[in-house]
Amino acid sequence: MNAERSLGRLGAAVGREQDRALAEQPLADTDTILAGVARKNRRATSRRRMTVAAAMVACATIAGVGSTVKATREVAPVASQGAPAPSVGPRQAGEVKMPLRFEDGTTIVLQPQTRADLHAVRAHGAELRLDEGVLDVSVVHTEESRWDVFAGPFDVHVTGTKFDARWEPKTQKLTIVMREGSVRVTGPCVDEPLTAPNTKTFACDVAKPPASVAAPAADTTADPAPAEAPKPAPTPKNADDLEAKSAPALVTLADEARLGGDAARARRIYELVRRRFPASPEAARSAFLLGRMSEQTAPNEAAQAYGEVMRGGGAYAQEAHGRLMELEQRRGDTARARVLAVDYLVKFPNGPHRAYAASIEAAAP
Amino acid sequence: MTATAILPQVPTAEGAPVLQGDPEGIARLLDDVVAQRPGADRELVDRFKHHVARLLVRMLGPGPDVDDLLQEVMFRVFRRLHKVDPPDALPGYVTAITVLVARETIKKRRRSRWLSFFSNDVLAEMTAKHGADDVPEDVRAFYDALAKLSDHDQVCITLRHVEGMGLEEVAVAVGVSLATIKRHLQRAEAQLLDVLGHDGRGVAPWTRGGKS
Repeated sequence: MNAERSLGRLGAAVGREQDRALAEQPLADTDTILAGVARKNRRATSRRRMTVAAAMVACATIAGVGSTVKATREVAPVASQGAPAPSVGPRQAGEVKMPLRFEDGTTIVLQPQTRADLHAVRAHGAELRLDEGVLDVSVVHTEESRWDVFAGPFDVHVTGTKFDARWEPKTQKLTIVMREGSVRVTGPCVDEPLTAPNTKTFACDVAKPPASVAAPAADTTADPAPAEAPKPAPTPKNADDLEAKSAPALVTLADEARLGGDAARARRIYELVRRRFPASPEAARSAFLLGRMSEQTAPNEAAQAYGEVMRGGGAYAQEAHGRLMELEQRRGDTARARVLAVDYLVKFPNGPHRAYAASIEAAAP
Repeated sequence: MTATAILPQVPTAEGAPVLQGDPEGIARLLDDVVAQRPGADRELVDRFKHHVARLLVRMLGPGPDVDDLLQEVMFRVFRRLHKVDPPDALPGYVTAITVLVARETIKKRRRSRWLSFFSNDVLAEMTAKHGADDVPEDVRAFYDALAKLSDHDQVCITLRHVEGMGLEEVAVAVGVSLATIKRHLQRAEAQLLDVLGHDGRGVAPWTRGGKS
């Protein structure tokens, strides 16, 4: 039999198997893909800025100039028209727009007749309260950055984006117009991601805004050191949409968060699945993915998660066993790795990690 | 040789042909994306995402990383879109980027000491979905044997024999001449058949032409 034809037949069988698996695994939607591309672009832009800033410092040093330029990502607010940069404090745009430009390239523009209050400026972000009117927000997002826009009882947590936010205090309505990227809007009756392009209006039936979104201290001429504003009150549990969702729906949300780069949210939701639906297939999958996400940064947690998946049996047990074996070997616990390897070869003689397990067993003294 | 994509009309999981011969439409799309016309980026992703995903699965197997890698491919595609020339080379350009990302992933997996080509998330997902006993032995043997080849040879074999690309398409995708790809494939096929023959696990019917 001609080699080409043999491999063609075998390849076609492999292709059919892969198509079957692919058909059962829905792809990320286009919005998620575009949000991911935008996030990678911003990260690349941020790295280029850091490189330019570092080069400037190097040149200044070489030239012997006592430069005060700092190659840092610390963010300081810069008022419009070159005025001295105030830190926290209220702003009001009259007949013209009022831009606030930050060192990392983020721009927040108060449209005419808009009142807002810059609560806090941090090393990698800021908190702004929109009292009335429209903000035009363009945030340069990095892994460390955190920007929040509060409006009434709502918190628009910025995960890397361009959007407009309109707050109407009389009707207590918040309208978000997404132009690029994504945000997360939370409030007494909402916990929702929004991805561009999208326009949505939020209104919760609350008597008054949470007391924690309060006006800042009267003294607004404080030095630029960050003054953290009090955080909004946590969303009441019975109003949290996540608590009402099914296990498959929660896993979908967690996967979206993981693929969208919001690891913290993904972890929260995977943990919620484990707590609310123990012993379910979704809980096993969540534990497995939590293990994967933790391998580099928290190997003990990863080991614990894989152990739980192995004890539960089920679809991911074999892979969790293989990964735990690899993790222990990598951490230097060769004795534990060998025990796992021997056990793996007994339980999964045809498993995908059998060759590796055999190599661990063979290497044992 | 021009970088013109000669891509087969292969039904996707969604049941629609992936890429059709539409050079004018592709040129217009490229123009729109470079000019940042609203909706053009979405159209490009919609047009290519299933093709990219299928190719990634061909070369790497299905698994939870496919979506992450799809994002990486699209990021790189958008980044250098303005350099695609002529415009109807866009499909071939997307394929070449996909192959590059797949090869990097294979190398990364090797470095993380997964010995089997599809060992980590990939077979995990397949066995999780179908059960370890449901993944045919010949398919599993194919995966294991392929893992013994270099990343370049793995990609060439899967594009040629699993995806079914013609020789010229494979050459364009991996960025070598037609003569070179013929030589590489001949070597890789011989090596693969040798490994499969020694292994003998369920693949003898294939290598002897007994199965269809």
